[in-house]
Amino acid sequence: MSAALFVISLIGAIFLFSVWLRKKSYRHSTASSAESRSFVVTAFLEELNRGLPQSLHPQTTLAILTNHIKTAYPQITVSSLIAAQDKLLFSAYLEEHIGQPYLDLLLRHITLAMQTLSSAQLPLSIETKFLGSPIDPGSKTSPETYCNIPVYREGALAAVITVSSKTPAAFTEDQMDTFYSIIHQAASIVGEFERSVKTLQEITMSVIENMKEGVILLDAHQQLIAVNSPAKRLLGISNGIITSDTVFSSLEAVYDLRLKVQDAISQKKVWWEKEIRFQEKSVSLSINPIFLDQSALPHQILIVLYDITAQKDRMQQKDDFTHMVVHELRAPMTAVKDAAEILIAPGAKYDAEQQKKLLQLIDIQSKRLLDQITEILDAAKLEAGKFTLDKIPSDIAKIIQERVEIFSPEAQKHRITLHTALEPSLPPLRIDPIRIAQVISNLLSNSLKFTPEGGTITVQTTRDTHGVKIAVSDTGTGIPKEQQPFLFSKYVQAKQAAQIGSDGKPAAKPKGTGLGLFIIKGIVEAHGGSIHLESEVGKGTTIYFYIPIEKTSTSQPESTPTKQPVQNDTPSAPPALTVSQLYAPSTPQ
Amino acid sequence: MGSNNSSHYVQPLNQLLQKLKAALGPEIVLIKVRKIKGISLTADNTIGTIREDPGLVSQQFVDQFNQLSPLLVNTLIKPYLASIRVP
Repeated sequence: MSAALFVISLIGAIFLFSVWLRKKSYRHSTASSAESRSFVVTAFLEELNRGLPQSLHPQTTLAILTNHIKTAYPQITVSSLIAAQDKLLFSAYLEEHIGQPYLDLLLRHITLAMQTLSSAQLPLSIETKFLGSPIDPGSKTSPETYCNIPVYREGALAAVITVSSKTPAAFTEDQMDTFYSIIHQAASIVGEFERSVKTLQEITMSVIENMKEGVILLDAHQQLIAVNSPAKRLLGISNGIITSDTVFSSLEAVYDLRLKVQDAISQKKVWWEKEIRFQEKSVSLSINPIFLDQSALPHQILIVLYDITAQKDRMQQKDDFTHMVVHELRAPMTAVKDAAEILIAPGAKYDAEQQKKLLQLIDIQSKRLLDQITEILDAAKLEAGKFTLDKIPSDIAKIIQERVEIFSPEAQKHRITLHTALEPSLPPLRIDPIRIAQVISNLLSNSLKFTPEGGTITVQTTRDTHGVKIAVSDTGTGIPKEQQPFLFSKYVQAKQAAQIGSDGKPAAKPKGTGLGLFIIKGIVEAHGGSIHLESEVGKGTTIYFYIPIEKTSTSQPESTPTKQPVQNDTPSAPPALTVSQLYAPSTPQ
Repeated sequence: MGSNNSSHYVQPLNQLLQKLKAALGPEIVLIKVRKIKGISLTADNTIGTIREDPGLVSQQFVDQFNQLSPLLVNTLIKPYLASIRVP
């Protein structure tokens, strides 16, 4: 009884086990297509990702895909055909015992497929490559079953993949559907990759093009990827076909850029060149090899060019200014020292007249020195934004008349007519009268310097609803156009040296710090106004400044510190008036 | 649709069938074509008769091969069907 029970139980167990095993196999077979697809696509994506961006090259992508299909389906032959420039590339991962007849027929099938699917004329030349099992010279088999799968890229046929076997009916419908699904999915993902890379490239190019610095991008083999407009301007490269040779040769007269790039790559570090003098420009550059891994070649090389010409010019101007200032300060100091030494020299005997002359010399030179130091301090305060004004309601007409009276003897001495054309009933202006007087004095002094005998200097005022314009015009030598932009610059001294004097000859180097116009510009701007220049060589010069009428007025003086450091450039203000508008018909007062 | 109209499309659709066999291989094409209702295949696997409206038959062509590759349908099948003016 127990033995029979044991046998029945054993048979039952075996039966149940086989049912379980069949179910497991059934589940495995229905799940295998999805698993295969997932396996191939995942492996393909992993390898694609590892090899970016080179793996996006069509031939490389195709090779990766067919390799992984073959790995998932080792018993079949996986082949591909792709057109590359002037030839067709036919490659195949072979199953076992495949001979030349198989390959010849396979090539015929796949070529016919490509011809049918593509509207383009196919190249005649074919290059072949076979991997996997070796070609069996004795094999006479042919592809008994095959399935061609078109691969599209950006809507056009890019390649054909053929899965084939020497075994008839080797593929089920489900398997063939799976092949299509794999390739469709892979192509779709690659398309997304390519679009992302392209978008990224476009963004990168846009950023590079809009940079102020010059940018040159080279690939791993030092071939040009991109060069932006600032780089082309700096290197003097015109538009057209530009290669890396164009870039390297543009600088070769002064700098071996190709050699420096190679040095930076071999040393794997950034190379800085502080200054290269090139076509009257000063340029500094950095060479940055970009390594993504441990390989000897960089992924890309980034060269950045910086135009430091203006910076170098400013430094040179500052040096020149410093030298000039030191010289200008030293001269009166030396005179004071010499005069003092004479007076106190042991045994020296001078009469009262001689002593008076020496003391007068000390007095004059000391004042000159003090004036120059005051100018330098004023300029420094303007630049630092610490220039203060003591504004009170003032009669601008009265200030002008006072200044004109002071300069009248000098004008008469040189037979220059100095007169005013002041609008009646000018409103009181909230100004610092001492500083505005300084402005007018500076302008009158300059006009006297550069107006020849018989000439005319006019001080004119014009008012509108917003403020008052004060213009000092002369019939002097005028200022050359190329110097005009620099007239109110802090470093104008060197430029002024080239001016023509009132005697028609090149002016002697002006005495003083040359900061006068820079300071008066700062004074006018500190009042919320603006200053302008109109001049023509041989005809004369008009410098006019505009002072706005302030809305609030009090009788108390107030110090008005300048809020912003005074900029050494053309102020923005009410629009400039023409010369004809300056000379309104009015009786000089 | 009358049988005259349908038989008019037998030869053009057979030409499409040949194109598809050359492009994709005979096995997968025949598997898909056998699922198209309203046509009968001969012993040599060509279309013998069309029993349904040719427009419906051609739409089934499109549907079957669209499952494999929509781009194949757009670049090969639809342009061909348009050229033979299937209603």
